[in-house]
Amino acid sequence: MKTKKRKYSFGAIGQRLSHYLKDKKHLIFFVAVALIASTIFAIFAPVVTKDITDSIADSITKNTDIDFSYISQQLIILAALYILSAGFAYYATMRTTYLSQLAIKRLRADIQEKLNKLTLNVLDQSERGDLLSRVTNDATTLSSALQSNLTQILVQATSIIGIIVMMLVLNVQLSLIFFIALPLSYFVMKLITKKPRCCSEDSSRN
Amino acid sequence: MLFRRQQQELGSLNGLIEEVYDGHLIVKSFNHEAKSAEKFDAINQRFFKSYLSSRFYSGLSAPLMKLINNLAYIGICVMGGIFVITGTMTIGTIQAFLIYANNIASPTALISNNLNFIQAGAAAAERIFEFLDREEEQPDRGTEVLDVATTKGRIEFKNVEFGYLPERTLFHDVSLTAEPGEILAVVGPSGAGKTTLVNLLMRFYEINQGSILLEGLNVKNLTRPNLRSAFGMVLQDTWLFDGTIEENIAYGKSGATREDVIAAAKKAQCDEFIRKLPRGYETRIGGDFTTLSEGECQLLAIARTIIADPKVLILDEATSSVDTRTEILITQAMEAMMKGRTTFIIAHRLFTIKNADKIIFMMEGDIKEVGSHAELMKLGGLYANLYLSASDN
Repeated sequence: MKTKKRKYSFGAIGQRLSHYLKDKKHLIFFVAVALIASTIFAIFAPVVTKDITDSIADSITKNTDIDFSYISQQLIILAALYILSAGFAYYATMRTTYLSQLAIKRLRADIQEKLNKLTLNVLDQSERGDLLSRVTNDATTLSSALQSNLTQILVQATSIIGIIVMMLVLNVQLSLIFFIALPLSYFVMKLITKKPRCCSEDSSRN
Repeated sequence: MLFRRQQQELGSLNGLIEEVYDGHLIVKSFNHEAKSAEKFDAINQRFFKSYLSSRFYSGLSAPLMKLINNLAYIGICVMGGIFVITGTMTIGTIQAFLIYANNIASPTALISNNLNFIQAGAAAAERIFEFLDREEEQPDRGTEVLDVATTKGRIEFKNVEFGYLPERTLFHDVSLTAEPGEILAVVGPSGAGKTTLVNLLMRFYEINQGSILLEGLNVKNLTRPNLRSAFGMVLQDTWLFDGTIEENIAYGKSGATREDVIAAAKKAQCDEFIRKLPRGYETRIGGDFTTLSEGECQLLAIARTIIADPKVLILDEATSSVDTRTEILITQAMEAMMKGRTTFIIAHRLFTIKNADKIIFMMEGDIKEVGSHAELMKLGGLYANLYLSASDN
């Protein structure tokens, strides 16, 4: 083949995949809004809990009656927050599933079209099973990676950002403990994902 | 990356399965079962290892991150406790903080887990894109249109130069004319370029230099579907799909009626045996051809080509021997099919060759001799030698 084996960066792959959803920009926007909304609602819940606990603690230390009307009011707000958060998360998950499956469907159509357009040269020169594996196994792997995992990553990434902000607002010193732990776990993660790369390079394909 | 390797090993594993499955009988007859099992074991072992190590690392990351997060959790408890005692913080704040610490732990663990799946997905995407970026056929120009209905089937090769690889030219300077209705037998040793001639006629490959004209039109200027609708092809190994006999014959022409199918089957000498089948034209045949003999499959392929009514025929004469009766049927069917059509036959049987209007003797990618049997015998060249040595046997 005249083209050397090219490697695609994460960015290039993402760009090519997002190309399949060019006409769904408005939907992607809604999903982003829903994700952010879901995160914000979930993140404010502990603040409400904090107020409840503080109110009870206050009553006990000052030896006054517990303010149940305030607490029940806060509990209703808490429930509303959780329900709203779950609702938005549900919407976002549904829509990302739809979007990722749509992208895969379009990718599969592309593959089908490509099979018809390939020169016979390519077909004659490649191993059939490997070619088939690309259009079946790899498409399935990509599909499941996109569908379940990408959605989760999006949900989790937004909540991590939100939580970090809230922690900073609550107390800077305690947040510091976390800011030491987070890079540490990121470092461990990096270490683990890097390790296989170095070892597999020498024993590459037959 | 480990995940890329995993997908690669899976690909080569499938490649081997496909290969051995296809050549099942050959593998058995050469007693290579043990060898292919060995080869399979080796690849399977490699796949197992790469799968295991990729899962090992991805399995390791989640517990490690959990450990770190739990340590942070303890730190917050201790620090927070001190803050509450010294009165710089309320109990509620530390409670909220612990909820946050808990909530942040699970997404980070999940993300690290998911990143591995995303990596596997990226490896898969890479292989798909690699496939999508492979060489494509030149787009059709379609500047000229061939009227297939009135085409008589005149074909001309003008100084054609071609090679499968750019640096290795196979056809150096091939020129050739086929008049409408002529039968041309393409003869020559293997590797002479007989199949290449067919590949170029059908435009499966593009020529480097020169031109191929069909009815005076350069085939490069036609669309491929337009060009190919003028051609009919019967190859050595018959491809029949899973469906009824009728569907398989009707494949040659869209919207073919039962009458069309039967008429074609009659011309192809297969009506008789089809009627003898318990379910006649409704008989299901599959990829494994269990119900039909090889000769019968060939007859069906001929019927399929007849129904398409192409102007130019390309036949790859079967080298495999069929029983004498079927052989006669096939010859009759072939003759019916070739009538009035320009025909290229990659010929193996002397009978076919002798009866051809023109014999094209090819060697090393060049046409060495062209002429009728009588003319070439008189010439006393390469063809005459081949013929004499073949008829001696």
